[in-house]
Amino acid sequence: MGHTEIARLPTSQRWRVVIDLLHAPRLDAPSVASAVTLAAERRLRELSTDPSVTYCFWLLTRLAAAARSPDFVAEAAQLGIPVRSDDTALRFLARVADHTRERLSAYPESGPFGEIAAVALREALRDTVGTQGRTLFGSSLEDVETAFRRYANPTQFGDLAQRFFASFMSQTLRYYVDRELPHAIGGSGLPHIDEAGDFARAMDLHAHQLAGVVERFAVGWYSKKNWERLGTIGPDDAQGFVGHALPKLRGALVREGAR
Amino acid sequence: MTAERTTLALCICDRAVVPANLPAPLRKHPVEITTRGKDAEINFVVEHLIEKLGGHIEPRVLDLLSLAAYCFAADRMVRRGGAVDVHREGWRRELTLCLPVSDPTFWSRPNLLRLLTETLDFGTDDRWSFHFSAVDRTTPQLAITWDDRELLSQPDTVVLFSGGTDSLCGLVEGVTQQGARPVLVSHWAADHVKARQQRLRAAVRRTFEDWEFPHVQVELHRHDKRDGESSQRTRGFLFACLGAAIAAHLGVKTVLLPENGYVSINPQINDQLRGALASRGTHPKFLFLFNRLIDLVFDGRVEVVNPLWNKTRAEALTTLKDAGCQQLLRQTYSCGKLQGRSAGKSHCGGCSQCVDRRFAMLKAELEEHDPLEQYEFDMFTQFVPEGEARTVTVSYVRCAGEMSPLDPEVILDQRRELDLCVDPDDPDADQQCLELAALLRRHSEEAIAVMEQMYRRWSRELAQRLVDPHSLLVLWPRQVGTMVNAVDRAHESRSVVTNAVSSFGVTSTTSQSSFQRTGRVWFITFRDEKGGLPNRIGVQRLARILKANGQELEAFTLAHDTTAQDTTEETQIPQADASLDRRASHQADVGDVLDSDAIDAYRDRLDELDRQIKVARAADDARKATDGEREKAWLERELRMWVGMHDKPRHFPEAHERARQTVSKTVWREVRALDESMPLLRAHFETFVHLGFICWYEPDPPEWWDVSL
Repeated sequence: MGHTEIARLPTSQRWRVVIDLLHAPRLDAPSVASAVTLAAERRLRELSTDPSVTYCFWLLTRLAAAARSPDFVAEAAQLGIPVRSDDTALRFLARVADHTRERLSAYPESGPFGEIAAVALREALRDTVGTQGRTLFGSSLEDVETAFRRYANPTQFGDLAQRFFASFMSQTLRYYVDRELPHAIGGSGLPHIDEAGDFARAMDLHAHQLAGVVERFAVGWYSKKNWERLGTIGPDDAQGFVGHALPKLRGALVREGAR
Repeated sequence: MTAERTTLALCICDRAVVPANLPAPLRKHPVEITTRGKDAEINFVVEHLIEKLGGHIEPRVLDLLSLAAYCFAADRMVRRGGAVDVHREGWRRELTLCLPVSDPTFWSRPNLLRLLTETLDFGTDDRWSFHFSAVDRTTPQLAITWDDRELLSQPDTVVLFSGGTDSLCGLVEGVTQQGARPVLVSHWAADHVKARQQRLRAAVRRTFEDWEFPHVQVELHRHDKRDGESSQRTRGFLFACLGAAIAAHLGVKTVLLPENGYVSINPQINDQLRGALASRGTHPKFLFLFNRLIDLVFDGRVEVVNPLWNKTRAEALTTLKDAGCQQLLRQTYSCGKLQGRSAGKSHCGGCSQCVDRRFAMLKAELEEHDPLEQYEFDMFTQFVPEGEARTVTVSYVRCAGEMSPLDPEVILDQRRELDLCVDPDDPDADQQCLELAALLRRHSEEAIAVMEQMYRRWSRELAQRLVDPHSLLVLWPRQVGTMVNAVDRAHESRSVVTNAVSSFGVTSTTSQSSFQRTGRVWFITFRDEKGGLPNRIGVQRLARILKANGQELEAFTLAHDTTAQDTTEETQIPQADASLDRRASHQADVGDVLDSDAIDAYRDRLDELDRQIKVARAADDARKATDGEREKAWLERELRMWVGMHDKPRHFPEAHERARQTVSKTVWREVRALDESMPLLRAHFETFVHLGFICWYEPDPPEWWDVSL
């Protein structure tokens, strides 16, 4: 037990660019992010229609709406999440984790990106609790509801969408980069182990900032769809959003690296 | 990846009936799993079990064993795509098994099927489905080495005995602390593993002479020597099933599956390790699901327990040491790689198990029982080979370095894998989760302590550059003696994080002063300075104080975090007073916070300030007047807190004093950490952030912060 399946990046021409950038004397997160986006282009393009990513984003929109309803527990139950009124924030997150795991198991084609999407969903939920200056431990379901309720208006929803896509994209970038990063340590770009952590965080920030393009788009989209659907955004709507947001983000990643 | 590219496999076990309604694509390439005849793919012949046990074996026990073995075979025979599959498109498979059992109706019950698939799905990342048909049990099955005589002494526990350090620790703990009389159950697929298990068991018998330690060794592997799928994510399920089935047969309730808590969680030390890419064979969630399944199968007669769930390996080894059994460690074997060893080298030294074993042995000061010669290389001083070894060793230390300065509550916030360790229906789930976060913290501290220890040990060679440049000690950035205590370490770590944001070509695009959390890091912009701090309690408290810009917050509230979301409305002084009085009635009192002399001194200073302000105004010295007013306002606030009605000193409950100390300590620590890359901000905070029983931030001139609260 306790085994790990570790692999390195392929040595094809496109991935070679990523490897060379990681071993360069001066590491540049935007360039690396851009090179990864290009090297994994086909797979990242497919993620725009990935059922796991769509489902997780859709669930996020529904939970935001549920937090505004008078009975969050009943609304969550309708979504298939058996929340109890005496749940803590941690237990609620565990229920969301269980629910998404079960649900996404129907989409093995998502591969690791199913889990990445599920984590992005939970991170967006966690961050909303965090924005209240709280830790998860000791927070109640009511705290989650209160925190989340603020995100069910178009402006704040933009922030929530940005958190989701920023997390999704930074995890995706790290998923690829971390295959090679340990081997770049010891070179002049990353002399020591700690710098690898710093570099990963720089990638996070880069992804978060670029996800601003999603935020701006999300504000208008949420407002329009909520109006059209009377507050009930459907999976097809969510698919439409993901199909628009991910290519935008991908494009931004490539462009920023070229600067 | 489209659904069409997913690996689909229909596994037909021993010519079981295949339902006619299975989808056509699934039927295209069936995988035959046979256990009988000379072409059998797997040595799955239960013959000896039935013969040697002599008595009646419950059909359900046999069914469970068969089920586990068929799943294991299917897992080995259907490839996932391997390391060349950069996107891991083939990692998750859809496996449909048609298999024979004695009671198809029982095994086809929806709730049982749901739990069975959920357990396997979680453990393997695959999507499993099953179709059961009736078995012809005329052909006996499963090769097993079992000496009936050894079972005569009425065992009371089953211990799953892999031959590693954890199974030994769990066994010794059970015997010495609970007086257990265990049956050992092992699985082996290679002769040398079998021999090692037997040697260790023999050594245990010599150490504890009062008990025979009956040993059931189950041989189970593919006959086909061609490369199969090597990930073996069903191994945990197989192992647990073996234990549960034999326990059920023996009428024993408890099955111990000892695995240290760190390895059980198997945290994501490297970001490529998504899902079951880091195995989950003893994961808390897996055991929880497995126990629910076994509950249905054996009507609550058997329970699988991990006695080491809240211990690091070093802590488990200490238990072994305390029992005086450390000499047994020489017979243990932890390496996850069965092949590719040089002669005399039992451990590869670079897989996750080897790395954790080596660190734990050093931490528990048991190095003499874990000779370096048995490892292929010394990761601390020698070249760490590229590939898995480099990735694992470096990621292990990096992860430890990031977690060791964090409070468990912050680890709980940041480590996403902990969400999966919780049973949401368990009322103690939060506490258990916090305990796991504390375990991760202790493990990280142990790892860093070992790095420091090794750094000191090899300092001369390091100075003389005699240590390989691609060894852990050289790749680790620390200098001897600078990182000995945790506080220093925390500060160092924070400073490094602070620099991270402006390095590597990323600059914050936010123009105003901002204090924004993104995942694990707070990104800070202040005038021309940009930086970051890891998400810790102190930073969160600082963020709340900034958010309340100009408003007062109670330290007790900040420390216990019990207010509603809008802190600016609920923690004004009058309310704070009321709540203090209310709480004071039932909490320990630490006495007067300020004695009468001090109060007098404060009042004298207030009078003096009044005079100074008047003089300054008269002299048109606005700056001096403003400074005086600021100090006066601060003193008045303090006095309001410390002096009650009729000028009597207020008595504060102990909890408030603790809260004051905690908030001050944690917040100032973070402010100090800003020194290196944000000196302006540090000076700004030191001037305008006030921490006491009441905390507030009042910049002059006003500073508007965009805080993500």
